[in-house]
Amino acid sequence: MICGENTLRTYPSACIALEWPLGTEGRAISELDDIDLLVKTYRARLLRFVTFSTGDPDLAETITQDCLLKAYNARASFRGDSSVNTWLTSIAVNLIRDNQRTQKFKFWKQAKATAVDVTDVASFIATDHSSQEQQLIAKEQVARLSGIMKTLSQNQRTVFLMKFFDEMDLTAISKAMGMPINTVKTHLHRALKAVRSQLGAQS
Amino acid sequence: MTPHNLHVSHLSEDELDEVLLGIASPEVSAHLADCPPCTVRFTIFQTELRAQMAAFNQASLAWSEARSNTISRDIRQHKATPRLTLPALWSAAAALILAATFALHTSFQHTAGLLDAANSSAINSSTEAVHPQHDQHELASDNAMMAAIESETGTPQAAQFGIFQNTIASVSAPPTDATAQVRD
Repeated sequence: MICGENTLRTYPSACIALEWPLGTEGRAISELDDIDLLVKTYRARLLRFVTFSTGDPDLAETITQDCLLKAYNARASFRGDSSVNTWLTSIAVNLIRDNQRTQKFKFWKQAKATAVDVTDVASFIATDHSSQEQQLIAKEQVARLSGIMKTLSQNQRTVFLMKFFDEMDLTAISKAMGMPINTVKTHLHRALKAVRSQLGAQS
Repeated sequence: MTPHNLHVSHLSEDELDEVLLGIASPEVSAHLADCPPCTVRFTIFQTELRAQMAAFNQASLAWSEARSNTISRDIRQHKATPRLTLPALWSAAAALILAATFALHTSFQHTAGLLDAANSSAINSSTEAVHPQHDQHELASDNAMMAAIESETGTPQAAQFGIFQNTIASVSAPPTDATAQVRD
């Protein structure tokens, strides 16, 4: 007996308990029920996304924790029409937007924002199987791309991160950002243009 | 003639981006496959971008994993940051305006009270300064009135009031004295 789509959406735990064959949606929903698994699987990736989207690692930690907690508390509302990754990213995007909206009123706190230490990030380049020269080149590349990303607008940077680092397709980006696909394409085009021109100028 | 042969000029940057994003039209893809200059341009950019991204991807993921491990695992202990929504901000602004208005009103009242107090004390002091003159003038007019009454009645009853003694003396004495003076 196969767990039907509607049954799966309404009673996912029932499907799991009865050991019915589960589709992708079922696995996604059960993934949300296990908070430890949720944290283990998604926190590092979310943290990276939020850190490089906001440029503030301390704020990113708070937003990531908020995002996971919110997702766990609202897991019942997850319809399974997108992957957990896309759903979490859309929650993170909304939290970032909320934060930026309120930051406009907290102008006195601007000075407290911490910036991403690119040297610190670059020091995490794998040191095995590579010469010192290769490591230096890699560190330079990290610093260069990080510098270029800082020059992008918030939306350009966010869609760029989603596309090239989280490997999300345009439909998923559109869902997560809550904007039409054509707008996503425009942001990506502009981001790529800026990256191309700056890479060309630097090389 | 295939459609891509119709694409005479080379691919634009936007078209190359579309290839990179995986959303290029079949014509663009076909042109790229057939045109060596476009292929070279595309390959150079793609290779450079991939190299940058690979290094960044690897380093940033390792960095965030290390950082993630320092955060508490149990997110249930994490208290969600309170959201400062727009209605909340408007309410806060309205409350602030009300508080400021109340404070200004109170301040005005206090100032007005102080001014009133100062004015009344000034009036009192001037009134106190005026009173002795007023009393003397009143007494003088009273004396004059009593003297007139006395002269009308011809009975020095007012003499029983000590306060009128001098007046009575001065009013009753003169006719005799004056007659004497005339006689002299």
